[in-house]
Amino acid sequence: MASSIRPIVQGTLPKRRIRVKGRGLKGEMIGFCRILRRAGLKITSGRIIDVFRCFDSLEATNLDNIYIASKSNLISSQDESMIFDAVFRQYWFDEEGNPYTGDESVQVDTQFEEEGEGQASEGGGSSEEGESDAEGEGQENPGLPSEDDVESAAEPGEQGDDDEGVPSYSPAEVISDKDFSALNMDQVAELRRLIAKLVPKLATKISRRKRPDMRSPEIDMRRSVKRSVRSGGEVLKLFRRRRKIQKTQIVLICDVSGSMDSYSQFLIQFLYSLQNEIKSLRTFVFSTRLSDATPYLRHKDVNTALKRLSMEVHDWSGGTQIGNCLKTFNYEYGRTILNSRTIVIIISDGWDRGDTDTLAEEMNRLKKICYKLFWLNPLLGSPGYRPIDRGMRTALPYCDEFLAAHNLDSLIDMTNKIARI
Amino acid sequence: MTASTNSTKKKKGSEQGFLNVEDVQESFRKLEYISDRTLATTLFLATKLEKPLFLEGEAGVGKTELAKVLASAMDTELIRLQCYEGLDANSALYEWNYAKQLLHIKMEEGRDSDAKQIERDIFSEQYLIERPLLRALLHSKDKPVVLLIDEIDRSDEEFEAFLLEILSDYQITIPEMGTVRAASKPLVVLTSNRTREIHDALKRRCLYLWVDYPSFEKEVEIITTKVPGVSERLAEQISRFMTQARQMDFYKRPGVAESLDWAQALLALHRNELDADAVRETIGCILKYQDDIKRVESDGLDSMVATAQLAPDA
Repeated sequence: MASSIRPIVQGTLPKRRIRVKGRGLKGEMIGFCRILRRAGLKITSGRIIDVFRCFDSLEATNLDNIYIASKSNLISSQDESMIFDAVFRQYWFDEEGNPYTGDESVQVDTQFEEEGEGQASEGGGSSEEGESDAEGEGQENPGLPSEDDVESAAEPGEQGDDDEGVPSYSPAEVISDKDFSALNMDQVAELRRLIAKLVPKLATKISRRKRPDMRSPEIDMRRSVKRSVRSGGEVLKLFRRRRKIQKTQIVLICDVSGSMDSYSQFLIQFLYSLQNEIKSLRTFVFSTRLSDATPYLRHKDVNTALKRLSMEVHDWSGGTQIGNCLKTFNYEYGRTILNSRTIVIIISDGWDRGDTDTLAEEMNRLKKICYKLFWLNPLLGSPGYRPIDRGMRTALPYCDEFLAAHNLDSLIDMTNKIARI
Repeated sequence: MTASTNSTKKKKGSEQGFLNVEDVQESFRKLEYISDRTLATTLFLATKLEKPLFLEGEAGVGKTELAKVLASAMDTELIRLQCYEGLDANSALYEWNYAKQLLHIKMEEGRDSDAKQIERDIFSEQYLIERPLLRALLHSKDKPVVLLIDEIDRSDEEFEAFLLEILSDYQITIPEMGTVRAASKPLVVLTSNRTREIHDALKRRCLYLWVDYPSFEKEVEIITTKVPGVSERLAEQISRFMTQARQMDFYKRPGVAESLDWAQALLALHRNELDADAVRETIGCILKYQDDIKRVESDGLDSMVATAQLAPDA
């Protein structure tokens, strides 16, 4: 964890110039916010106003203060913190040689630093169009790129350009883009209909929330007393309530490595539909690295959701390291999102290039902390398939169910199995 | 915690709160909370802008403690709402005292009272059980209270939405009584261990602060101030050991709370410095999973101890 709480500008103030050329702090801040917004941060005008309000009680001549005040107001997660730091560095410091790269007090993940700087300088360089007021006077612009920056910006995979050639940060590097748009629309529609039908069958869980139910043994005091007033304090009718019923918590961990390619289109549709039917579902995808796909799949429009997902997953169709990815899952999410009611479903062909010991260890841990562990293997549908490859053989003893997942029928089969639990 | 008993003798006007960032740091230091500039500035801004403060960080880095210290530094009441799954408006906001209401109705029975009047009586403040959120609104009269909403990530989305409503207007409506509005906005501190993402709409209303593990120097300072009797040397060794431990692949990484427990344990065992035996005996203070303990024993407990024992200038 990079210690981002630490002011990255500490002790380096004398060298810095706060660029106030004509447009003042507010102008600079607005320009800065624009770049942040393009970098993907959700900058609302309310937030910007709050930044300005900070300077009523805090000196704005101190770059430390500017940093802390704007950062605490403008970010809302640790991921955004890193983006913010990179943009801040690029925007508020001059580019002549000594800004911060050599400063030991900067502790930003190096991998990100490269990416950040490349993109941020791009931001400075190409912002002439459409940014007349605040960004204006394009030439003496914040991150007028130095040669190094231009070079790093030109690196493959760093070209996150979107509209009007303006740069954008994407939280993860985009190594390859997968086009999901070529989907057969009938297939999509059918799949969605089917899943919608299946969902109610999925096992249910009892919520802690209550709803009125006169057949329940539990008395709803609030309503009973309230009603008793009408009859002069005589409780004529007892109102009752009981716990609501909720869907089972399901976690999907889906393999999107190269060997799964021919199924991925189908699978991703499945993931999307399921995610939109079951709100509490968490979806993860992995090949060599695990990513949480849940927020991307929640998008209303299927194509946008898939596009965003393929942008996020940096090594779509890459190699497979199931063991390591499960390890990431266990360590980062296992303790918190799994409980004794959670069903974990892994979708993978089990072709693993990683270490089988790790795989065994992590499967074992995973099995211990969840309720049921399912493994769906698309290859199981093909005649003559035997789970004899290393990865699958290692993982199999830990699975509660080992099922096929090559077509709709097999998914229906799976749903029925879950529903019976 | 020691902090809450140590109320400061500030002679400030109730309205103005902290004077400046240094003032925040100074009062925190008095209460034995070691803060850095970012933290102090953010807190200062939260009091000035009257914006809720959203603290995120690993378990055991002192988020909850921060809110407690903040309350005593401002010499005000701390109202705490511990979140859990299924937390609902009744347990967070208010509840009627049904037994008392029923008694009152029974008592009025013989007197031939007006039903309307009874209803007015039993739905008055006397019969209301204040839960933390309502308390925070009602008690922020002359000076804002600190409202700690702890581990918001453990509540569910329904509660989050409900909270959003309260944090935007600082008022609530009790259907039977009417609207309650806070005289002055309570200072809200939300903490999250990041077990799930909190909705953006809520976070956008807050000042965000990531609370990290302390640096080596800061941790030494924390240990020596919080656990009196620990030698500087032992504190440094603990801190150096912890720095290494936090880089390891543990299922649950030890936080500052663990460092303090550990220091206390070592002190009770009259250990003046770390050695492999002492660490083995007391490892349960810092690692809470059997797998983690096995891991540290199998790879390099001795070398970690050796590194921890190094004098700083060696």
